Amino acid sequence: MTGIMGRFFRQSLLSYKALYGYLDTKVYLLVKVVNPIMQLIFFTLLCKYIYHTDDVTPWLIGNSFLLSVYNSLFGVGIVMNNERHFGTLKLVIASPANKFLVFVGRAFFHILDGLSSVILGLLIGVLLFHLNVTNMNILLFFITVLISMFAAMGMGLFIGSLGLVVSDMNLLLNLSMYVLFIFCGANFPVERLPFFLQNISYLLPVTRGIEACRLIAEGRITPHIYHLIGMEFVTGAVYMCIGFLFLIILEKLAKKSATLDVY
Amino acid sequence: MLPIINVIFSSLNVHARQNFARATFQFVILFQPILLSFLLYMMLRGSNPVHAGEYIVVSSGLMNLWSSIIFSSAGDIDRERYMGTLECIYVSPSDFRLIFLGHVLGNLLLGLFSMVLSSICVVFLFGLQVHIENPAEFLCAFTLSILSFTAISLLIGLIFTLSRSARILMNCLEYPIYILCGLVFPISVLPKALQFIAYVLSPTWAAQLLRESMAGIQNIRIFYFDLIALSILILVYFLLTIVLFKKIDRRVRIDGTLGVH
Repeated sequence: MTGIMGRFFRQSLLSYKALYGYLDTKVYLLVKVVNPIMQLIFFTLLCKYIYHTDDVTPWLIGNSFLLSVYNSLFGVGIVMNNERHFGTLKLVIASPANKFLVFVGRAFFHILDGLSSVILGLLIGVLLFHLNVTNMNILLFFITVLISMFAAMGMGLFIGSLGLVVSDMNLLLNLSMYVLFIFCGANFPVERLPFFLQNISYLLPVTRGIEACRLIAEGRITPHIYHLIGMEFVTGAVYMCIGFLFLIILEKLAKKSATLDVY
Repeated sequence: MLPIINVIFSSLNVHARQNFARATFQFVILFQPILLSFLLYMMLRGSNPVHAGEYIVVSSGLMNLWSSIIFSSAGDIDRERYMGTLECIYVSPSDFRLIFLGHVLGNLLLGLFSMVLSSICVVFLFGLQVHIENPAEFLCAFTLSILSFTAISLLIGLIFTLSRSARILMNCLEYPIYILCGLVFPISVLPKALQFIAYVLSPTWAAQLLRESMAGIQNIRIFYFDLIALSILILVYFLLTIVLFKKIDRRVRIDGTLGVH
């Protein structure tokens, strides 16, 4: 058991390091710190301008969540494509290792990294936009963020599994990013969307997490929050399972047509 | 004159086709204008402000134009380097500056298409009205805006010739310009110190002029002052590009690392 877990953590760490390993510290900081801060400032100022409000707390929380999108989409979502690009995909597929652990392992460190991005966003909110955290149940807030990150990485794994058959993921990843920007309620209330589009919002990760965190920030701890957190966890688990199922099916297809390494 | 136009046109033609085949660029040109316009439309939906149509067209159009510059012109040199063609086009008998200008114009052409797409969306999909109150002034502002984006593209593209992390860095240039140049909100929401930086960036003036001429000019003297300021900035950018090219040209020949990545 220890051996399996050891391999799981080692592989997770290696996969994470492989993504950023080639960057020097300055560029890494630009990508992981400066760019997310700029994105957060942009959307917060946009909300402040359009809604004519000085209280940007709900929009700051929503947009802090969206900072983790880079981890889930451009970190986890591109993992299979990267394996093919590095020439390691056939080795991963052919190895006798537990495929589910290999698959989920690709997302593990991104959950923690996504959590750090959200914390960074909130810190910027406190420093630049006077985000009020005095009413907040910090522990419950972080549990909610952690579960939302799990759900976001679940979506990343689902999209990543498509990398076995899609040669260039950029279009799909960028589209998914904007779908999250629009539908998860970070920049405008979900209720503003036409009714049939509101259903899409609740099929996506992060939507419920944002709603729950906004309630926690207001100090309104109601049973509804636990329902939202629970459903967020279920959303993540469902995405992960569908992603794994896709991986198995697409792997079989790719083996049959000998296109696993073709791009 | 004809050979110069030939070089620019050939470069534009090949580059625009090549770029449009890239998934990221397809997203920026075809999908981003629609999604951005939709996002802004949904944010504005509750408040029904005047000139909402004009606001969305100019904001999403300029954001797209900037994205198309960032994800194309800024990374073009790096892509040529990656494909192993940078040294070839650099030392070809045609002036490298003209070839690069063709690249930039090709990107701008596609960027302008995204502006049109955004306008179509606003009018036909969201049912908003888009008026141009001062058409002659708008045409002036629009032409200068295109020139200003051409100048800034050339400048950024050249600076990125020296960097081997251009592809990563270009991702970090998108939001700072959205913020600093007031492409979506006025720069008056920024701290005073940042507003000074905004005034040396040509997109700030371009956004201001386009918005004013579309929604109706309040003060014609201020409008012409902005127009002159933008023209001066464009001139400065072009001059900087020429000086910088000479310096970069000398440096890459001494270092011999143009094609190294």
